This record gives sequence, C-alpha cells and structure tokens, in this order.
Amino acid sequence: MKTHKGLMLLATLAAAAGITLTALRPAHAADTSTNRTKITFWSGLTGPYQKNLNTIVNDYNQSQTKYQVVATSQGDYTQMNQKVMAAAKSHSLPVLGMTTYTNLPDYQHHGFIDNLNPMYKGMSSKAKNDIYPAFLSGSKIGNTYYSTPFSKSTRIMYVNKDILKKYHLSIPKTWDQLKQDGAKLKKDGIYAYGFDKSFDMEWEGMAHAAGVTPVSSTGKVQVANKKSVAAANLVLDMVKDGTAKSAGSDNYWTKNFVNGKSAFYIGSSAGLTQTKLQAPKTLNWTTAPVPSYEGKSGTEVAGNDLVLFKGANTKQKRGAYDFMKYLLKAKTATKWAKLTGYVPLSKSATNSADYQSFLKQHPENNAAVDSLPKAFAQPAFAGFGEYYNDKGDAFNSMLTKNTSAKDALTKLAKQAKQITSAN
Amino acid sequence: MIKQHPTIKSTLIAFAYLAPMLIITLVFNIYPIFKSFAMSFYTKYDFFTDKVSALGWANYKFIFSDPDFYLSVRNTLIFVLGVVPFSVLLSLIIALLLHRVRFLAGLFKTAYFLPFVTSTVAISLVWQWIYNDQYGLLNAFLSHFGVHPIDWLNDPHWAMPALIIMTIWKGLGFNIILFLVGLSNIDKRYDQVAQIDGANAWQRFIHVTLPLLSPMTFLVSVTSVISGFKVFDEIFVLFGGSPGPGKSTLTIVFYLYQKFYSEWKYGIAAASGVVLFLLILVVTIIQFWYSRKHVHYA
Repeated sequence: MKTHKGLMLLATLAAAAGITLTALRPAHAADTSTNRTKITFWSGLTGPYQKNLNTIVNDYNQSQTKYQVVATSQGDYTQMNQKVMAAAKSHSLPVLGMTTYTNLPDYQHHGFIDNLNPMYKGMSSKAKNDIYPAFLSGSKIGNTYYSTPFSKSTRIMYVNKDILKKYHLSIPKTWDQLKQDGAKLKKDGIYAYGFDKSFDMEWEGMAHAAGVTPVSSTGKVQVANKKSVAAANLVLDMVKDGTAKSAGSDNYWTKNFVNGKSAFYIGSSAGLTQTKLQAPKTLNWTTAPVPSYEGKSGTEVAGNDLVLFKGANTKQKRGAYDFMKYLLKAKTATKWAKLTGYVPLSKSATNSADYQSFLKQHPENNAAVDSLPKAFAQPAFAGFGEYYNDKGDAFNSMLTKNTSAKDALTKLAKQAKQITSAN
Repeated sequence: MIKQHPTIKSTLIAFAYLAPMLIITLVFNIYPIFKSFAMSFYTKYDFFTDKVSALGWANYKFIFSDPDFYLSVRNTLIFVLGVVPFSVLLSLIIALLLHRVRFLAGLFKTAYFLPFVTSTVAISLVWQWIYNDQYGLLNAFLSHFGVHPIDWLNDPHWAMPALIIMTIWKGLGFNIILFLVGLSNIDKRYDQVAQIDGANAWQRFIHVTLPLLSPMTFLVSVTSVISGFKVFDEIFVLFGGSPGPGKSTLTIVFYLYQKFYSEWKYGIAAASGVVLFLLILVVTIIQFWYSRKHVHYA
C-alpha cells in the first residue's frame, strides 16, 4: 500500500512538473532543430502587441534555417528597462532588445550596447535611403548607428468632425488658426487644443520649425532662447485663456477627445488604436498633420528601436543583423505597420500596394504617414534620461504651478548645460 | 535532551537546519545592505563592468545640496505625519467597534481587509477614477455639500492629501486585524474588575483597554511609520509614473528610483537610500525610547 502511495505521489509530481515545464516553454521554442543559432530578443510589449510581434518572429523563424529568434515580453517599457539594468549587472543580457528612444543614449553611454555600423554597412545604399531620414537619424548617436527603427510613431492631430461642423470650422493648418478656433469654442466650454500630460513634444516641434534645436548632439543648449520661450508661451497662453487643456494625471487626452471635450487633440499616432477602441460609434473623427509654426512643419517622431546588447558572439551578432534587416524589409515593415498601427519604416513600405489599400480602408492612418517625409528626431546625448526628467518637471511646473515659460526654461537650460558638460 | 550541552556537532546540525534561511537572508538582505552602503561612496563607477574607479563623499555632498532631495524629505515627513496618526486612530476605532458589535463583524472584517490584499496598481487605478476632477466619484459626492470640483491629482495643493487618503484607506485592514488580535488577547477580567469598581465605559477604555493594548498600538505605529517612509508604488501608479503635479509627491524612494533607473546615478541613489535608512532608524529609536515609558506589557 505504501509503495502504491509513493508511486502515485511520484507520478503526480512528474505530471505537475511536466505541465509546468510545458507552460513555461516559450511558444517559439516549438522548433526542436538545435543547430540553429538562438537569438534571444526582449520586448517591452504586452497583450495584442506582443502577439503581433510573435507573428512577425514566427514568420522570420520559418523563413530560414540558420537562426532562431526567441522573443519574450518583459512587461512594459519601464519594467523592461529595469530588467535590462539587472541583466547588465549579472551579465545575462539578451542578444536583442527593444528600447525607447529616451533610453538609447544612456544605454550607449554606459556600454550596454554594441554599435550597428557593421549591419548598416551591409545594407545597400538603396535600402538605407529607403528608410525615412528621421528614423535613421534617431538611430544614431553622433555619427555611429546604435539602433534600428522598429515600432515608430509620429505626432498627429486628431479632429472631432462633429464639432467642426457645428461651429463651421475647418481643420487648422497653422497654430495661429488653432488659437483662433479656440476663441469660437471657448464660450461653450469646448477646448480647441487638448494635449497629453505635457506639451513638450509640440514645443520641440515648434522650436524645430523655428530653426531651434533645444539641445544638440554636440551639447549646444538653446532651451531658453527667445524662440523656444515664444513657442512655449503660445500654448501656455491658450491654457490660461481656457482654450487648451492638459490631460494631467490621465496622461493621455484620448478619453477627453472621444468625449467631445476638445475639437482637436495633438498626440502620438500610436494612440490611434486606443482612439478607435474608445470612440463611440456616433463620433465622427479624423486625423490631420500637426499645424505648421512660422510657416514650417515640425513633427517629431518617437517610439522604439532595436538594439544589440553587448556580450553576443559573432554568430549571434550575424543572426541579429539578419533579423534586423528582415524587419526593415518593405514586406515585413508593411505587415508590422498594418498589425499594430505604427508607421511604416520605409518609403517602399508606405508605397506598397498592400499598405496603400490598408490606408484606403483606414484613412485616419494617412496623417501620420503624410507627416513622415518632413518629420525629425530629437538628437541624442549622454544624460538624456536625466534631461528628460528635468524637461518633464519644467513643463509640469509651467502647467501646475504657473511658473512662467521663461523661468522654467531658463532653469531647464541650466540643468541641460550641467548634464551635457558632466557627461 | 534540552539540558544537553552544545557540542560542535550539535551546533553544526543547528546551522545545517538554519542554512536555507541564513543563505537567503545573507544573499538577498544582508549583502545588498552592505553593497548599497558601499555604492553610496562610489563616485566613479562602471555599472556594467562593476569597476570602481573613485570613492568619496561626492554623492552625499550632491544630495545635501540638491533642493529636490530636501523636497523629497519634506514630502516624506508630511506623508508619514499625515498617514500614521490617522491610520492608527481610525483602525483602532473600527477595531473597537468590530470587537464590541458582533453583528456582521465577519463581513466588515473582510471588507476592510480586501484593500490590503488587492494589488496597489488596481487600487490606484480605481482611485484615479474616484479622484478625477470631471467624472470622479469624490467630487460628485462633495458637490452635494456645495464643494466646487477639486482637481485632486493635478493641483499641487491637493495631490498629497489625495495620496494620504488613499494610503490610509489601503492600510486600514491590516491595522484593524492587528488591533483585533490585541483586543482579543486582553483578559476580560480586567474589564470586569474595573466595572465592579464603578468605572464607566470611557474610564475602562482609557485606563484598562488602551494601556493593555499599548504593545499592539506600538507595533502598528512602528510598522506604519516604516512603510510610510518607503512609500512609492501608490505614487507611481496614482500619478502615472510621475512624482505628482509640481513634484508635490516626490518622496525619498521616488527620488531614489528616478536617480537610479532614469538618471543612471547609482551612487546618488544609494546615498539617498542610506539617508532614508538613517531617518527610519532615528524615528524607530525615538519610538522605542518612548515605548519604554508608555507601553505596558502585561
């Protein structure tokens, strides 16, 4: 009887261990061919986005015999960054990883990543020129490539067509027009311009249009120059006037936009998915490029890139390059853009028949794509993470403590100078 | 067996039994404490290669000249002073009621304890909605008393009270359970004797229940103060990853987090951790010193 019980217990334990191991095994490891070089790939995506990424990864794995990419979600970008730091410390970094553009300079500065010049050198000039310039420049620190663009977005303006119709307004082409529309909507408690927690990216866009780079890659600081202050004041005046409003602790203005709180909302094109999900069917809305400032457009790109972490062997590096190039191919970039709503990475992907027919079915995706040729990326510099925090504090102070744009930006300029000189 | 003298063999056996816990404590508690203390003196340090090129006091000099650090200390103290007394008092009152009034006590105990076992993220998300200036439940409730909508989460004056209210609510359940344990451990005869001597309910509470409950009150206060000093999750989720409007809820741990994870200043983060440790130590020593005179172990 005792032996019987022992056997039963052993069998149960073995079954439990088997089930646990099966559950823990990543879906992509199903392929048992052991000769392939494994490329571990950490992503900061969750839910449907990770599922879509797995689709792309599976396509790649099935396309060739040399490499096998094993993608695992590490939670959101904040969690992913924490895990990268822990893995760097324990020398257990993956081969590839996703990173936000804000972390890229610090990863490079602290020696977490390898440069990707060999990969880019292996690309034809035609393939390289095909990638939108803003994405390529965002992948560089100085003259060296450190990342490849992946899930990218740009700033667009969401438009409430019902409000336009009711107040006989047209889509503003300039910031001045947007301001004027505010005066017409204010009496009914509708904001002209709704923005996310901060308007720093629009401020950078306006500064860019006015020919100013707040902090250049060489450390030149123009944060508090006259034009920069004027751009910030334009929005702050609207906020004070009650024609513009921050999303505050909501972080994104999406909820307010779909509830008709503003006629226009300038936000990330990555928010299209959420807007589609949250907007009631009765709401008529569309998108348009961000209004121009001083006669020029200034649309900033953001999003995530792929980086090659230090510690990979030659075979893994080759595999990583191969996978990165695969992702940049028009066909893959089109599929990824269609699955996720991120913008296509290259001109040929945008012009592909597949993506063009997608645009016909989803006209709201047009604005982001139309903005791409003239879009720009903020230059990267060491200490960017710290500057990003200080910038957030400066804009938060303008919005919540009524600090003047001049004072807040002067303080930020001082901090930026300290950061660039210390690094 | 009990009177057996310790031998090398018996000591080794004892160590073998204790080894798993000792190893875990050494690796995950003791080593990190010493490591972060050492790290607070690293002034030139390569995190990736673990190479320390220079040591010194620069990190401490930096934090003691950083207005943000002083702000974080100030905010932490305000938070602790805002949360602990109210939390202890409220949980004591509720525990007394649950102890006396048995009707639906089980249901109420569960209701009060639920927030404690629910994830902070879920709680904070619900409170974000409660605090919303336009659609929020709290403003809707207050409007019945003629109170104008308060922008709880975006007004620097209201962000800290909002955080304090949520934290008190979240921690109530655990403190109530501790007080209930304390109350049930008090021998009923003390109360009965006092009653025979003619003491009324209030006198019995002040002179019998409260002194006999003092060890538990002390425990609740110490644990609440320590967890108050370490507040982070609630802020991170309630204010969408930021230290509140105008840094109004920037606490020491949030300061440490920012320095470590987004500014890559490991030494400064470690130094602020050491200061936090010393602050908690000083406050706890004061509490223990006070407890010698006022806590009665029956």
